[in-house]
Amino acid sequence: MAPRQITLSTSWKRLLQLELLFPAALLTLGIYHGLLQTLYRAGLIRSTSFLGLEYYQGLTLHGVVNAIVFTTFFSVAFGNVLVLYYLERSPNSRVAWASLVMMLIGTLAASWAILSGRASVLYTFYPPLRAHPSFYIGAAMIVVGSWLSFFNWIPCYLNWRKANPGKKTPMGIVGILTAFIVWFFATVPLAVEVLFMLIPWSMGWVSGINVTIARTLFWFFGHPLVYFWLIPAYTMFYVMLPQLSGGKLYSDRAGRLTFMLFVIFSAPVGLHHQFSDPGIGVGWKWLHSLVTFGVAIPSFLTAFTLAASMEHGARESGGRGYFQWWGKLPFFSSDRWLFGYFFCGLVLFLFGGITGIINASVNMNTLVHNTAWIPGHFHTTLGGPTYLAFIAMTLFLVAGIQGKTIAFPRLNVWVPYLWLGGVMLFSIGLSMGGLRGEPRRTNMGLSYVDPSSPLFQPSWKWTTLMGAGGGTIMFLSMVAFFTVLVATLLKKSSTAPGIALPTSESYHDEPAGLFDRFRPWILIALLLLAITYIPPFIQIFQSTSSVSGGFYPSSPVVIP
Amino acid sequence: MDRFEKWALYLSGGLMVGFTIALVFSFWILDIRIPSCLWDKEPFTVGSVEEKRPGEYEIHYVAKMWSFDPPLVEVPMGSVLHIYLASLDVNHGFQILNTNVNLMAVPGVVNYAKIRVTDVGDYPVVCHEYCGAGHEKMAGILRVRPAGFQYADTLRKAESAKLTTVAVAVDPAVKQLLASKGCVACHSDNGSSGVGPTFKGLFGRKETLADGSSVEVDDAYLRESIRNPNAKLVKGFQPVMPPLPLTEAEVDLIVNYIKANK
Repeated sequence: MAPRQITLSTSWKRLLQLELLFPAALLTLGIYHGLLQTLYRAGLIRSTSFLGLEYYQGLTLHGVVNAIVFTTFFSVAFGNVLVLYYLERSPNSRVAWASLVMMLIGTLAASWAILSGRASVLYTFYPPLRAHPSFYIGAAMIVVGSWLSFFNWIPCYLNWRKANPGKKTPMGIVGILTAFIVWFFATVPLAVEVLFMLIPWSMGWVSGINVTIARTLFWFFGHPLVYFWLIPAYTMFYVMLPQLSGGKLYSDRAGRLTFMLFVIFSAPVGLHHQFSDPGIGVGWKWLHSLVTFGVAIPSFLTAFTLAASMEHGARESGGRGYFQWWGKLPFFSSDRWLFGYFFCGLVLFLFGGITGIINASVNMNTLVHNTAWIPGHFHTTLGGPTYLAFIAMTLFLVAGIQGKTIAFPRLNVWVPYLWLGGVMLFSIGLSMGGLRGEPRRTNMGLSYVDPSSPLFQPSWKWTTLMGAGGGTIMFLSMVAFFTVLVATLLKKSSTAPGIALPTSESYHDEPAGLFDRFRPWILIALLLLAITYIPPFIQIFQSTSSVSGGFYPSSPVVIP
Repeated sequence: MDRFEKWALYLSGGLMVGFTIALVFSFWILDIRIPSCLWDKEPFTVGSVEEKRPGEYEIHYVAKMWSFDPPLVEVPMGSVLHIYLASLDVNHGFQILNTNVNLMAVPGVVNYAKIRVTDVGDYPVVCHEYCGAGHEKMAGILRVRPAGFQYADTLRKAESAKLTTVAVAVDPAVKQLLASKGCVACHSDNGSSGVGPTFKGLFGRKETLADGSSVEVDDAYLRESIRNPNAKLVKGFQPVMPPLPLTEAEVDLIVNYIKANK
């Protein structure tokens, strides 16, 4: 049965296309520098810059564009679509436009600062490295703009609940609201850091800054951010993957439980990025380590539910035996091409999840902290399920809105598999290098992999070359993807424009009960946040001191 | 929830409990620790190595843009090292390769790790946190010598100098600094003559002074001449250079730059 299709007003069409295609265009720059980084690191480019873009400037761009701008714009667009589609209600379109305009201005401000070389401070922007104020202001505007969209959906959700008493909230809505609740938990501390610390300090209004407080606020944001990336992808997996596999979602309740566990456990985990930091007690680091272990559970549960759902689909299509049923899944179907993107993302996430547990392990982290292992890890999470799901859905939605069929369908089907192979090679290279001490975020061609340098480390030569090999394959995969996307945009409309989301039914369709209400879970989350963050902040205030002034990345001379 | 789902949930919960037990074991039984709060240590700005008790060393490391102080530390095999780490400017990373020492140097607070060195060899120190333009050139070595070795002080100084000059060779900041303070008006960096001596090949040169005595241009001489330009004036030059208000970090930068300009 073909899914129900909705048509959109011209205003919504324009808004959604801008929300999806603007970050996709910017993404090409981020992808370009992703490839270049692997070449610099392997010593294939031995220079501080290439074609006018400096290594650390490009690295900042890669992080900000790929991880913040693209993901945030996409999630806002996807949220708008889910509300329009599943709640059959239109969020206030003026607020939606205001949100988009704010995010656009913020992105342009931050991009200007980065591209003009005034903000080579990476996407973590730790003070006292100082960027141009427009970088911080731009970041704040992206965040606040995205809040507007979130607040814009809440009345639609409440109105739907009122009109549909006793009905379960559609899974897509549970997913996207979970993502933005987590986003809100994450971005409040970021806003505090940016508005009350970084902007006044970068403007020169105040001189002193407590670096540990800034770092802690950043990671208070930085880890729930990871789930803000992941949860929209999970939403697609729960809502669409079973249907695409030809079956039903194995358990409705497991899906809802997963999302609620994310509400609780996503935020109180940020200190696991700071196990090597001074000024924070071991006890609190342990607590954050264990809560991070807790957040692994919804992902384990998801792995089970999704595998069971795929098995159900495969058996419905005639699959037999313990393992032979895998063969019945639509890996290379050009009608159900979303399946390949989702599936490859899940395969990568098997590695992403396990390496994530290693990172979160309080003292095992010592082996991998800030080494190349870390980007090796998150290119199998952010660069795995999140990225593949987001680009696939971008293509899917834009094609639907414009009433087009996908161009080069055979090429499109191969994109995720090429990406999967590229990321695997890249990540294995980085992980093995990381275990040998290879640092992340470092232009290694200038020292560690240069045989004429006193810092030369022979064993990092082949690991970085693996990274470059993987990076090249990833790049080719994206060349293929953008070829498909652009060719699709250039085609003539051939179908009725509108959005029809593949939507799964449930195999076990239990009543949702407590899992269909956000309020109790949000309360538990706030309580847990208070327990896990208030005491460490008090401790940091007592055991660290502020430093005055800042530093531009180009000079060790203090800016008073 | 059905039976299989419950199993999946219990299994994943059990796995995490198992991992936790392993961590507890490695933390308290194998004694693999991570940094905590230090309440009694103020941030410091100068690096040092001191033998506190026989076989037990206290090392103060300062990470700065873009070097470690001290760049080279030599200790006998079997020593216990108490490593204190501070930052002079921005965040730095501090990993001693092939050991369990992996720390952040954060301005405004001191970090600490303790290790026992059991194998002879050179252990490179890597900065793994982005700290600006010269990040990839931050160089350090922890050298573990056979038990009972004698310090060879001059040799260590020479090697340390080599390590600290790695970063500055490509440093764009120093040129900016030399231009902004007006140094380049009188001192060339390519050997051409000017109002003052050229920086090229200056370090290590024997100079005859205005009073007829001679001096070898070393670290101390350069520092003195920057701070107090006319104290030991080189023969053939006029006493026209003013003393400049430079910070210690700026003087470091200029001295390292001159050292590297061979």
